[in-house]
Amino acid sequence: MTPNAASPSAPSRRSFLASSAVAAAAVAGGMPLLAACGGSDTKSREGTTSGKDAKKLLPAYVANNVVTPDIPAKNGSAVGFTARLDLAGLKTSVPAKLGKGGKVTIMSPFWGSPPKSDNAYYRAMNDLIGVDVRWQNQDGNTYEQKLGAVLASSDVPDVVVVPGWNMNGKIPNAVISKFADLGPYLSGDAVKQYPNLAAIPTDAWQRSIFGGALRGLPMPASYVPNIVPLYRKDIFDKEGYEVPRSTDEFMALAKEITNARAKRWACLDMKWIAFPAFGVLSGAEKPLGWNLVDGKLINRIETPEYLEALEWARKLFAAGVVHPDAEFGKNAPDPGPKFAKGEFLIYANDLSQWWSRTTEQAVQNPQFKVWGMDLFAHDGGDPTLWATQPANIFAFVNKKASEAVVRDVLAVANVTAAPYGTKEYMMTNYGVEGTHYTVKDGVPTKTDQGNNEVMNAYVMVAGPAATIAHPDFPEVARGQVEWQQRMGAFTRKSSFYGMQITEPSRYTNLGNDLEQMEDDVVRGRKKISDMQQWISDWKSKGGDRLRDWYKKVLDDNGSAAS
Amino acid sequence: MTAVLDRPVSDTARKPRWWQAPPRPVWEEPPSRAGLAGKSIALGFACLAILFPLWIVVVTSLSSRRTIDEAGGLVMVPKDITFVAYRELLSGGQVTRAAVISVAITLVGTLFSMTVSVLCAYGLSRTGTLGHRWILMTLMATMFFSAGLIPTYLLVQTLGLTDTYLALILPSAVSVFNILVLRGFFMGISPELIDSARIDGAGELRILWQIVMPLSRAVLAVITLFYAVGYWSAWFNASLYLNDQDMMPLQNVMIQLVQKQEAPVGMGQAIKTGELSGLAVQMAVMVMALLPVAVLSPFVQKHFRKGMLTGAVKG
Repeated sequence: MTPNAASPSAPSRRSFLASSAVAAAAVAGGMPLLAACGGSDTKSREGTTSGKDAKKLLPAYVANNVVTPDIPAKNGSAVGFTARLDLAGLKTSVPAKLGKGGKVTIMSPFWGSPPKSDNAYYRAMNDLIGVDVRWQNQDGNTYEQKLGAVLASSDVPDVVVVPGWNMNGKIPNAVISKFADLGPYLSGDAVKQYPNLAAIPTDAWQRSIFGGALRGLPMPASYVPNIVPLYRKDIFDKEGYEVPRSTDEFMALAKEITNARAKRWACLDMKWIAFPAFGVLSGAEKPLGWNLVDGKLINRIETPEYLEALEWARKLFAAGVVHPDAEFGKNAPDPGPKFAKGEFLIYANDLSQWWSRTTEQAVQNPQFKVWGMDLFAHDGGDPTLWATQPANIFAFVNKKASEAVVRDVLAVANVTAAPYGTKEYMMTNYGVEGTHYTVKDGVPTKTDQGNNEVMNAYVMVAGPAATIAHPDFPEVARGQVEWQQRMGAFTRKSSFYGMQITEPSRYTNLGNDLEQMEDDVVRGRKKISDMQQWISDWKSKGGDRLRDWYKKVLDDNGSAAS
Repeated sequence: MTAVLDRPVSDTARKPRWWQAPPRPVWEEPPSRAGLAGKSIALGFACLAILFPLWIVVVTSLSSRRTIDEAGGLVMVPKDITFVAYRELLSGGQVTRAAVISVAITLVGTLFSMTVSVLCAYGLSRTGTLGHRWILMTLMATMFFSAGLIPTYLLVQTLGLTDTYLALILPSAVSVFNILVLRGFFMGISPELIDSARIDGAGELRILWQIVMPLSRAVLAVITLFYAVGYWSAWFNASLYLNDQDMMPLQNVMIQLVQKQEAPVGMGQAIKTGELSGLAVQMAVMVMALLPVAVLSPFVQKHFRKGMLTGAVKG
């Protein structure tokens, strides 16, 4: 059910990290073996907490006015920074070290080659925070297995980072039984000791409630849908193509673009664009796929719009306007080189690729210009978009940790959650000036040492409100934030938006093969009627019971969406 | 060949000329030109089918981002040769250190695995030894039922092996399949040889060392290769049991290097890749991973061929 795993054009986990956009991934299945994760916690492990109960737990929100963004957040967008970086003008958001010098071990997923445990970046960060952080960087691709094993053992590190896409099988239960309630340190006004944590949006804190207690330190994200139809603006401008505003216009344009003999096709798989075009509920996470309509919970796959969206995506394949690589589905190669070559002109992916594709080509292919197309409604009107989750990566503190350790962890989080434009943000994200990065014409560029050392470690603990800042390509940053703001105006929140919901484990594998089914239908290997049969089976195999379960969760807790 | 030579001459002389059996089977005749050409073409295609993907891998690993983008991915015709992907892989000494670790793990692990497997297989090949059947059944049961990931992790952790190199060797040290193949081979050795050695006063270890093992060179070479390739290619145990990055073996470092090219976008984690393409790094990693196997395989090939056949028949 995740855009991540959905298609070659869907966003990767890493791009999720990058953009702060939500690419939630409640992939059903995962670790069936985590049998030893039980704990002595007697609170319910299923369901959620919202409404009045949640209000008591949530930290107070105190806006951080240390830095004023160039583009303030609107309609759920990230804040945008487009100005050149002025090192001398960096603000300080943590005037005094809050750390007490203790030792904290943090286990976190890592994509790439982790630096040596004793390096200049880690030393500088630890010095800034006043805590001796020891990193256990684990391979991000096998993190779920490692997580399952570590949580089942008695030797859990002080802090464990858990991305939403790894919350499968028994892991949500283990999170509740193994990790500490941070409420006493953060709920209500207590959070004010940590000003950067107090500036984290309440939606993100709401998502950090697990098993009736505030357990997670969140990495906030914009709730505006993160999947953008990216297109080659340079070729569009040259050929005089107009950006389409309806599915019919898209099809007409796609046919105009496609010339298989000249090795040019219009697009890759557009399934994840078809869904918003027809107003289908979000597929980013299982709970987001449910919505209360006239007193009855409806799942996204039960709506006629869902089938219409699949049918339209199928028509694109049938019309031959989709690049042959898309036939491979999940196994398709990286679209980058063929997009750069111009073999196809449109593909759907995470918002962050808008910038990463730009920077990849900037040196060698200066005329290359990628831009984000507005999501369109199938009939040319305003689209109905559905919000994704406002936080999807969490850091948890071991239940056995002493108060001193918890305080030190919060000191770490208070630095890593510093907003853009502060010294703490620069240190967290770029390292030490002169060692890890240099600034030329207001653009920070990492040195080799910076590239090797300043990679995803501290940023995983907690983050500031969703931020987009690209001093190297300010027009891209503006484009991204403005896209979010325009799309945010059409974005609605479904019934379970913002809630951390743990489904009963008996439903874990329900609907596991949905994506494969979708891909087969879209590629013409199966018929729409097969999909209808699949949906009918899904209902009888547990979908209807799951609906009742969700209804009870909603009745008991109310919705967090506002 | 002997059948042909032994054929009585008078027998062929009595029959009409058209009936005469050819003096040699057809496959021993010198090939006709057409046959030779056909064979050459067929073998040429077979070689091409193997070499062409390798060629693409090598050429892509030596190409710049521009060439890769122009080709829309994999490069077939080299345009510009750049070693930037290899430089990226080998800079920082991380790969070198990891390679030393991998070689050491492979050597020590293979030696250990072979010692245990050969001793076990020899013991089990002597039918009638104490508890022979029971031990065999127990071993075979582990082929069908495994404890699963978490119990194994808990065992390794309880033994205090996490963050030690032993965690990369012990959990996968013994393969029951390999033991069965060895046992099958050992059982095929003539019992008279062993009996005569015993009459000469040799003990079991001496019989194993001086009679059985020299006669089993082929299968030992194959099983050694199986274990060595297993240790060389293993990465999951390291990612599960090791936390210290400095202890990671080569395969894990390679995976990390490939991911590095894909991973850090946005949030100030950009790597200005410039002329370096992620695809080139992936291909360079493939070349480096292939290299040791490609270098070693010609030396063990003859044993491998013989041993595979033995294992297939006797296993």
